[in-house]
Amino acid sequence: MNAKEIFTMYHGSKFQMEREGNLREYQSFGITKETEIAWAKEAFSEACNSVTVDENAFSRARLFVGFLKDASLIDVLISIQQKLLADDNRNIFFSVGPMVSLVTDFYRLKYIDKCKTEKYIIYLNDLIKDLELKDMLDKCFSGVLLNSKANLDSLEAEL
Amino acid sequence: MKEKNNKNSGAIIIEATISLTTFMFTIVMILFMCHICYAQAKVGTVIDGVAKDLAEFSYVYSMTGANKSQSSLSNQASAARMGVEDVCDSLNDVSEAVTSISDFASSIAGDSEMQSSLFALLKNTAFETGKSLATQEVVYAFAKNRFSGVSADAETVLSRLGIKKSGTTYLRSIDFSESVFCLNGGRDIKIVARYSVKLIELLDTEICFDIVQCASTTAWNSAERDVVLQTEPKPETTEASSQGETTTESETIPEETTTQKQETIKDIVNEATHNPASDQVMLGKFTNNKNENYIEKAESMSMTYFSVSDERWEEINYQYDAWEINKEFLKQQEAAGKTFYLNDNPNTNLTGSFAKEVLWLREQGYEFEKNEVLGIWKAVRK
Repeated sequence: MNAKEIFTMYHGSKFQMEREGNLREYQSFGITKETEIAWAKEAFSEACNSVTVDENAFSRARLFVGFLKDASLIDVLISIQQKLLADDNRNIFFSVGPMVSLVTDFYRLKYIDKCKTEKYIIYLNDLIKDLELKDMLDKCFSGVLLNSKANLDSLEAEL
Repeated sequence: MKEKNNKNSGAIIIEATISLTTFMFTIVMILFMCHICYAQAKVGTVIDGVAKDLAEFSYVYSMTGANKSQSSLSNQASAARMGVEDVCDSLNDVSEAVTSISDFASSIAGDSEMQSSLFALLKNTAFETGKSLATQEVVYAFAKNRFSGVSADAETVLSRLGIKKSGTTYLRSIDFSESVFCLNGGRDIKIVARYSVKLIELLDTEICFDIVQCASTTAWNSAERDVVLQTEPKPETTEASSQGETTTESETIPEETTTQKQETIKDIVNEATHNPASDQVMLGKFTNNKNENYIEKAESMSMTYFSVSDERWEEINYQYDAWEINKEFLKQQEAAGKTFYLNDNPNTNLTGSFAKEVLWLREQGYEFEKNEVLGIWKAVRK
């Protein structure tokens, strides 16, 4: 594997590289932070482009936003969600969890303030309500929404 | 004909003069380079050894009060912030395995100057005042021992190496002031040596080369070692300095007590627990055949998962074993009564942390059932 493959596979996470025993190999390439950021942006774009066909792509995009630590990209992800919702794409159900995780992480790391976090919580609560009304809801999706709601409530309580 | 020969003789003399001068100059240059390389290698080996000595010394330090599990020894030792001799005696009582450390400590016990520096260093470390004269003094003491040969003392050896004497002695001419010992409560030990090597004086001109060498390692103490031994050996940490020629390695260890350590691990686990409100936990590999990892799967299903942020990981990398934190996460989730899922087959592909997670679940009495619809494995306690 080359450095870029390792980086993309682990979404830039050194901790995950360590857990799987690939960290030393990756470090041996001596990749600079600038190169990593360029790779992360590229991977983020690729993930965003495949959200309609890949149920994990949204989460992948969210993980690269986590690496880039760029709060403005949350709005990009929201616009993707809006498109999925408008298209009645089933992957919208799999995008709620990653969004809740992202907002929680960014709030805890102070990349977004309390006011903005509250705004995102309201948006996500509304989204969950909309999705609960969708007729394509099955057992799997309702479980996902239930978990998402619980995690969102937990974040709300933390605020 | 004769005239022609005379002309040639002159040319030979000129050629010989030029070539001999060049030859002599080249030889001297090679000798100079060999001299510098030899001095550098010698000093490099010594500071490498000094770093290891300090890492070993951190064990003695831990025995002076940090290791709660050996509290009787600790109390005995810390009652009066005892002398190193007491610790040595106690160490021998604890285990034969520490004989070498004990021998090392015994060797410094008779040296009052060394002893006072060591305790100044301990005190300094305890109160996190950072690098200090104490570190430097201890480094000098260790370096003195390591420079001393069978037939010559440290000063003679350094003099032969051509170290430029800028201080009161040749040893003091090596500047160790940038060395650090467990700075700000961390584990890092870094020995930085700055010195000048003087070349053979030619035409009354003194030529010196300034050299900086660095050896780095991490401290070890008994408290961490106990825990590490209960889990598994962690790969030794090796770090090469940017300037440095020397590198060393040793084992990790914090100065925290076991209780403090457990508290810290719990804090880390709390930070690393994502989606805590979910009653389902996703474990697994970061890479599998379907190219989807356990985090993607967990986030898509809004399940709880474990992942330490890179920033946090860099902070704790040398202090804690990744599996130790991972195991605490598993314990907490099990105590919360959550259902475990795996994103990969627990019967094949067992590598890295995933293998440890599966083993831990099996030890707790879990077996695994595949959910064909979701393509994940559910852990069921039989």
